[in-house]
Amino acid sequence: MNASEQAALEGLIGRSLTADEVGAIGPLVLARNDVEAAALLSAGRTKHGPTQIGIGTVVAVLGDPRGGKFLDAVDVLGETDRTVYWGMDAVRRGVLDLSVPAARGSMTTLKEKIPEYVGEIDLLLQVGVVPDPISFDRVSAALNKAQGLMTL
Amino acid sequence: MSGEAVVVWGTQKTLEAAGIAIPNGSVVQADDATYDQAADGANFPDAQLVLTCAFGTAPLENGALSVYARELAVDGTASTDVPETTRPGRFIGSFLANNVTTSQTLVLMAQDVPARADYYIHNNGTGQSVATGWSLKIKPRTIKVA
Repeated sequence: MNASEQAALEGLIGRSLTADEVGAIGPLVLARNDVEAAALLSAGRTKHGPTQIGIGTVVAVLGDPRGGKFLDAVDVLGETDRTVYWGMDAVRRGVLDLSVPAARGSMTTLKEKIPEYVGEIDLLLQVGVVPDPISFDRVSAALNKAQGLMTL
Repeated sequence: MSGEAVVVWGTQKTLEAAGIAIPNGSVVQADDATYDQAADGANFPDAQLVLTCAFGTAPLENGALSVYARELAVDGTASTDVPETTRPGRFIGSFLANNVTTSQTLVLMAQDVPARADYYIHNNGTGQSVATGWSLKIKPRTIKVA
């Protein structure tokens, strides 16, 4: 795998390839086994799918009694923090969408405000996480461009 | 019997005898020869295309190997442009790959082929590279009255 090909793949996944990944993907690029190359590049990739959560989801994910205690803690915090107050409003209505980066940011900020619930917040941040594979056609397009091949 | 329709075949012509590799998503011309409907095909309107190829790793079942034509000398000596990313040229048809690594022979019937054209193969979703050495042949065909 030459530098152009590696740069093309790194552009596709938005990060640098590790030495191990370069070693594993190199032969696949040489053989243009784009299906296997895409599978390797897709390993561990996730994203948040559209997921609206509410009180029911919180209780279901955290269980009893942790879910209730967590909600109580956030509710108390909301009495003095208007951002948390309105965030809880969305939770009560079941429309807090964790696929929105700002919503996840607010949840992450809660870790500082109620550090005793960091574990619970981390669990909730995993709700709606789905695989984010890279299709082999995208790998093909990136490599064909790097290799100067004619494409359609 | 007489007056019924019968199929008549012309002489097969090799457009590419041993092509270079075709990675997935790329396009390669069968550049050994053009096909001229009059000179090569006795003015027969249709043609059978035969692609013989192999893959180092088995391709996806039914992955398409599509054929595009670049029509030549359509206005005096002026030809249409070479296929490109957003304008592939005239679509002729698709071969559907078998998911094996052994050599495979694929057939495609094309109706009303261009009067004169260069032919290109687009590896359109097999996921694997067509190995060097593939061939593409064309055989004119028509129907006449017995």
